[in-house]
Amino acid sequence: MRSLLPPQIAQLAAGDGPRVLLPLAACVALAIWLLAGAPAIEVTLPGGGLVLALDGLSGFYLLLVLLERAAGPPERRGRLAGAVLMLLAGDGITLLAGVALMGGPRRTQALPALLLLGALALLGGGSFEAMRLAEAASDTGLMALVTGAALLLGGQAAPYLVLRLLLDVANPMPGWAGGAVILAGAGMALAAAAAASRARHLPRLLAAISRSLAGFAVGGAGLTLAGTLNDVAAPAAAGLAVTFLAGIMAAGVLPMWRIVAATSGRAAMSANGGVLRMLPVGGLAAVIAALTLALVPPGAGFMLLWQGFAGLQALPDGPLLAAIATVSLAVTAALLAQAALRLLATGLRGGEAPPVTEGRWARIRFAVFGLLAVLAGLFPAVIFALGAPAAILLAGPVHPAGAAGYVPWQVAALIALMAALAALLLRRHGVEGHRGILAPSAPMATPAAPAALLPRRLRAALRRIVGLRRRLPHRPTARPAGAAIGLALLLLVLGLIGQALP
Amino acid sequence: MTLLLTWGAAILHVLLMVPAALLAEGLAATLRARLRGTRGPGLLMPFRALAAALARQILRGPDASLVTVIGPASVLAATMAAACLVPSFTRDSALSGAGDLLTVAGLLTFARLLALLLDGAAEDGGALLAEPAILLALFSHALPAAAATPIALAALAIAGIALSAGPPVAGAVSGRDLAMLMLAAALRRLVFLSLIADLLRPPLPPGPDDWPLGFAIWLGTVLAITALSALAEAVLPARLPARRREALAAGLLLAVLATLVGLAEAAS
Repeated sequence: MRSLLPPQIAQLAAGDGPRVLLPLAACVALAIWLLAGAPAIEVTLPGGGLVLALDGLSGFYLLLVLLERAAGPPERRGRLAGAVLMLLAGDGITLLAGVALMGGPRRTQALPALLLLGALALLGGGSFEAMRLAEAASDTGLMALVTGAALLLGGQAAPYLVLRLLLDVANPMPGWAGGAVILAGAGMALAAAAAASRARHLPRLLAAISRSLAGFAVGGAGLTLAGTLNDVAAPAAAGLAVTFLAGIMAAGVLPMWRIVAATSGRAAMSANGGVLRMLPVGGLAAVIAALTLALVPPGAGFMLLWQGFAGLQALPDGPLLAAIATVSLAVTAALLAQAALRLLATGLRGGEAPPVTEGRWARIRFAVFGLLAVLAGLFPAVIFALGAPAAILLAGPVHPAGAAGYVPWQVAALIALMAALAALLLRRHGVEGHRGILAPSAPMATPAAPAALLPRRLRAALRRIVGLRRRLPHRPTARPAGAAIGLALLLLVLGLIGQALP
Repeated sequence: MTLLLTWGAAILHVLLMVPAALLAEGLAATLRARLRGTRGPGLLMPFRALAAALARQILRGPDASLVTVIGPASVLAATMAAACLVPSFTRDSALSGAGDLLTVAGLLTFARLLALLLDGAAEDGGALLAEPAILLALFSHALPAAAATPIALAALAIAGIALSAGPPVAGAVSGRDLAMLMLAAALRRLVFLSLIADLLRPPLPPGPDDWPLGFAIWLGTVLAITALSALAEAVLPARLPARRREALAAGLLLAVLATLVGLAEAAS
């Protein structure tokens, strides 16, 4: 089987401390800066008049870019530098240089930079400050050029360019501009999700999901645009929530499957049968990631879906637009669920799996980002807090907030509680005869050292108190029941703490 | 006192959902059989089938994965969570604040995804089309237009019939695992019925004094819709998987239509 990835990537996928820890440390620093209100930083380079600036919006996207770097296998050389330059740009030329650097050597990849050149010409050029004061030459042309460049670039750059150039820098755009951007984003999300649900190659499937998430982010930016331009708060807030959540999913959740693909090194889906069963920690993290990407509760993806529906329902203008976007959102969600199902089915299938092992750093990275994916789903308020400076910058006193009709940690606790109930009620019945991966492998009687006996006695005493005593020596279902009860209690406590905090 | 009442309502609701789901299943099977001219298995058949499955041994193949082991319980847990959020006899339940109808649809998708994974039917994309149909039907119902509701109901009904058709899982699942999947299938059907009932009936009265009234309304609508869906299933030709996908696609189209009609009316 030919490996689609260059050898150094496969090697790094096994794990390498500094490449994970350095971006992660930068992420933590950026997060602290964002939570402190993101005081703006601006540097004018001597001589050329180039401006580098960092504000709430670019800071949030820089965080996402670095997170993606920490979570996934390295990308093509220069792409990260281009993305960072684009985000730090405080004027048109630096922005263009960053986008050009991101594009890459192929001729088609220069097209976004060319479109952006036209957009910047329409905006008047110079620093962002100068553009804010100038009148854009053509609203329609500007919208088309920026949206086109964003959709071609994809990734985190797409929503950033739309938010920065159409909402922040340009003079107030006409009211219909938001609708057009929503349709463009929805179309891209739908087309990419359709491709993902049919793809036969793992890297292509992941690239299609990534494009679909970029489409969601652009659509969310369009919702924000539509809400802000028409002075309606609800769609603006929901749009920002969609954009931020899509960004987090592309940066922190999807890369886990990229590592799996890079580790296996096999492109065809059929050649990756059972790859997750070879990775003890990574398999669990990848299952969590796939469920998040399937947009089902209680993951972060479902919050994205919920906010998208809420935002479209609150849209002030054009019921036809809302209808088309809603239908597109619903079908996109189904197609993404289908794509995630195929990922899971392939990864967990029996049969001959690729010879894959999990290095120490790979294991740590999987654990960290799996946990982050769970927490992002249960407590999305943290993501919204990180995006708050950007929200203030773009939409004024509008903040993305939790969903009114959906409380993730409560739904998660409910599922855990129901699992515990089912396991408790049904555990007396049925005789275990399985030889699966959870089959007991320990010998029946192992002479234990006195030190090892203590926790066991403690456990036995606890079990007697709680009443979860096992009746037979081997009752595997008692453990899931206890685990589910524990999880439900933990979630309840965490949620109550979260509610008690201001 | 309010806290006690809302939690009492929640617990009562959960305790009611499971037997109600099995009873509705038995009722539908009996009605279907009567409509075709046979005697039918009786109202309590699902209870007996569940007990029989519980008494049997679980057999798993040598390549059983984590999904095979915890899959059935997860399917049941997600479906039960959806059943907790669906309104039944009151809106006072402590659980109803955790999620809305969109969340119910999401949880059903979750359960469906896991069931398909267990079934080894990952390429059967049509099976996941039911949830967008529900979403759109709910969305079109939320619009201030009367004409969209019948179409939305039709979409929900088609999706419900298509989803509840056929055995829960065709793969080699036995014993307690099979029991969990059977219960999940019955609950999913009841969730669909309750969703349709919620669209049809007037808003439920608040307060514990009106719980009996709410209970009567819930029972009445669910029974009526069970009878109607049994009639529809008896009239429809044999339920093949291919036909199921067609039904789902038709439901989706109807839901799209309902959304468009509702929006056009809301605009004018």
